[in-house]
Amino acid sequence: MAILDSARLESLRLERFEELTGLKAQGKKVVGYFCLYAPVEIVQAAGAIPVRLARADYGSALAGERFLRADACPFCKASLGKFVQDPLYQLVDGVVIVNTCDMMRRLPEALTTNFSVPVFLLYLPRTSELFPNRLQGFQAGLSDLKAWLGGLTGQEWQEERLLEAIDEANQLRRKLQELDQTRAEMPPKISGGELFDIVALATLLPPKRMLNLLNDLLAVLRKPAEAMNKNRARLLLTGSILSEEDRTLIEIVEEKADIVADTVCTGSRWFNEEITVAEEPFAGLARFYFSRTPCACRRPNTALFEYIKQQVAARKVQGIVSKSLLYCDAYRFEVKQLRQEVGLPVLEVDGDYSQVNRQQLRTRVEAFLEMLR
Amino acid sequence: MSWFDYQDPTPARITFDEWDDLFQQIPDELIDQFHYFPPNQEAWSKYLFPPQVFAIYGARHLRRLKFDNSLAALRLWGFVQNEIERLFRARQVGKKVVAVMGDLGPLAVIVNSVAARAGSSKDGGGCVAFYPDCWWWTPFAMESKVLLDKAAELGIGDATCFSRAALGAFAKHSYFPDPDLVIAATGASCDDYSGVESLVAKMVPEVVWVETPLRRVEPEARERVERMVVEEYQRVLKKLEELTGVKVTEAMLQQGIRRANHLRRLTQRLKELAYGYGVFPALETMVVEFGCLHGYSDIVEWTAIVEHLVQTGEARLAAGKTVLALDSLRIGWVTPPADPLLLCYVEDRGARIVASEYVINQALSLIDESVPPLLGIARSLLTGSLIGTSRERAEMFVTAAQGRRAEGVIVSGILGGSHCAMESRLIGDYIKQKLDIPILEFDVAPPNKAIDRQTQTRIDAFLELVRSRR
Repeated sequence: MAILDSARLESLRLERFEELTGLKAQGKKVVGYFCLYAPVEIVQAAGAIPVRLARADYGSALAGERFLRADACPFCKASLGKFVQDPLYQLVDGVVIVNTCDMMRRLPEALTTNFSVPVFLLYLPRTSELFPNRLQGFQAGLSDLKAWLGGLTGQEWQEERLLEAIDEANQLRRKLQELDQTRAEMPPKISGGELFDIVALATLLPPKRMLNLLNDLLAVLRKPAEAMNKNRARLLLTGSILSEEDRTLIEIVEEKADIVADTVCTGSRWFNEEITVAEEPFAGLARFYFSRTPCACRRPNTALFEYIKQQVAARKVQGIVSKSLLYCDAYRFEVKQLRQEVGLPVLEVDGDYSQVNRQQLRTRVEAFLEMLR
Repeated sequence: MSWFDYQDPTPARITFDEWDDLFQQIPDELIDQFHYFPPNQEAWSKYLFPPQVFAIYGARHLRRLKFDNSLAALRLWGFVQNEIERLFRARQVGKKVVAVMGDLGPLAVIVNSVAARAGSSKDGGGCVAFYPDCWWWTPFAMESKVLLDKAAELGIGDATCFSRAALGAFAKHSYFPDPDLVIAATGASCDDYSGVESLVAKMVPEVVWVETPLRRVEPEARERVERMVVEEYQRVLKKLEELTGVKVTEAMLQQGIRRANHLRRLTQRLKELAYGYGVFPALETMVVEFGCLHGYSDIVEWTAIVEHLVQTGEARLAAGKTVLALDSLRIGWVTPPADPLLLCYVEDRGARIVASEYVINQALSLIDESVPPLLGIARSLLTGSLIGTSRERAEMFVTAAQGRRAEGVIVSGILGGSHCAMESRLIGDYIKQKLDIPILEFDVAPPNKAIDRQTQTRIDAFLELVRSRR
């Protein structure tokens, strides 16, 4: 039984959309972001409302081909398509983009050229070794972002609002970690699909409201429930960004197995670490975002593999599903390495958001699960 | 006999077979004069051979190209084709072989500045920088997918830029010696190649990672970015010192910069001669542009070759002799490197290239000699084609194309090339808007023995359109 059914999810999203429309009418600024390296705490502290733009489906990707070539990243194409089709995207007053990959780095031009949306491109060093010059460069970028947001909102910067935002974000991350732990149980109490939906909601709702909701959900999970099937394969999901509307793979997998862990940026990597505020807040933010469990696009990305191995061990994972978007070099290139490093069977899936191969995918997943028995 | 005394035939583009015939007429004593790693004059370091030799050794693509018929051009081809031998020889004579990856230009200036150790032989010591990036044309030159197949085996398959050939070359351990050091730049550059670097890092003992930040134009931010790059380069220097046991002095770096600038100035002049006056074909001009990356692993001899080419071009200009008719259609080309076969094809159909943007601006811009060396090199990196916006890249090209009165522009990309997918349309639209001339956009096909019919037809139609607008 789902702890948050689709009807409830949809009504929460709609409510929030209407609320955002109202807030915008009152002069509040809505700032969209795509990537988990975007420091939402600064957006909040600047008096804007952060909203993660992680919806993408086949229709929007096709719509995006008006602006980009067919062989561009499906997520980037779909993001542009969403600016044509999706009222939430049309609501944003500005977008923060992080240069996680080549395609993302070039998205701002496509956005400003075709939609006249103000964009701030935050440069995160692609190298992951923590050298002072890189950290300083990144921190200076955060200050530039603060200034850009100030220009957008017209509000005076208040340091205490930043501390408050960091504290709220940390509480939210801790609560999501708690929820995620229920996935690690034997059998898991929530499904991978549910967790991804809840994370998506956490990037839309205000933190306080989301915390209340998470408390309610955790209370439900603490109650005794009917025994679930213990004998399903325990899997880890890894790979490219998984959009809110791209649930096909998860649905097919979870018909017969459990996704008990993931390393996806719209999943557990969104909340798996917390900000330490033992130093000046901006320094703490810079260090936190620079050093997060890396996206595969960082160099070297060994810490990502370490995180995967740690998750595999802690959650008794038996197999890995790796989902890469077409042309997503960062993740596609690393699959062979993943096989070697982790030593577990890996199902490698790539694609755009098309549904035409749904049954083929089902066959591949079933064959993979049979192999794990 | 000096090459000054040699009389080139009337300038022309000639075939592979004609080149072989022409080679027979070059006196032996002249052939004996050209050696790599000068000033050595050892027999093993000759490189002036007819194209036939390289075709037999695997560069089969040469048979389908057309070449400039000057002695300087033959030197160019002999030298470029000889690079693999030269790299293995570098190891034998005591040089450290350093693979620099992903920044296309600036890192090689630093590496090549490291002088020979005191007491080493005149041929030995010091460092040789090479770009495995450049092995991306090997499948084309060899008409073989061996390196691409190897890359696919290692996890980088068809939906990726041909630069994946470099991964295959690393894995095969036979295209260049296993480097003494790998320095890999990543950041605001090319993702496909960053992926190659990531997998190479798992094959070699150590990689020195260098951040390539985004270009910023606001003064304060620009200075910040420059400082950041300088510190990246300081780490590189430290590694090079550990590797060679040589303390890298400011004087060494200044000398390296002067050498690089001399080559870049020569290259600028050669482009002017070729694009402005038609005295050289596009193919040799492109090879010269790419020579600014690392001098094909021997910057001293490469510079001598480019000097020879420039002198040849000046003489042709003075004599009013051109290789390409001045009334040819004037075409600009924006691309990762253009396929040599395509360059020849366009010229065969009455066009000539008058402006180019091959994503290596950072290897062509002059390094500021009035500032501390690492800052000068950092600034040259920050002129890079790929590290700013597509608009900036297009603007650079538009200025060049306007200056040469380009009548049409070809924007060629690579299917699966991460920046091509995002940039091609933006660049094409901007050029169209600014220049109001026909644009042809297509992807370069995988290595093949011929240009596919579809591409031929599209180029033909494009050139007809350009001609009809005269």
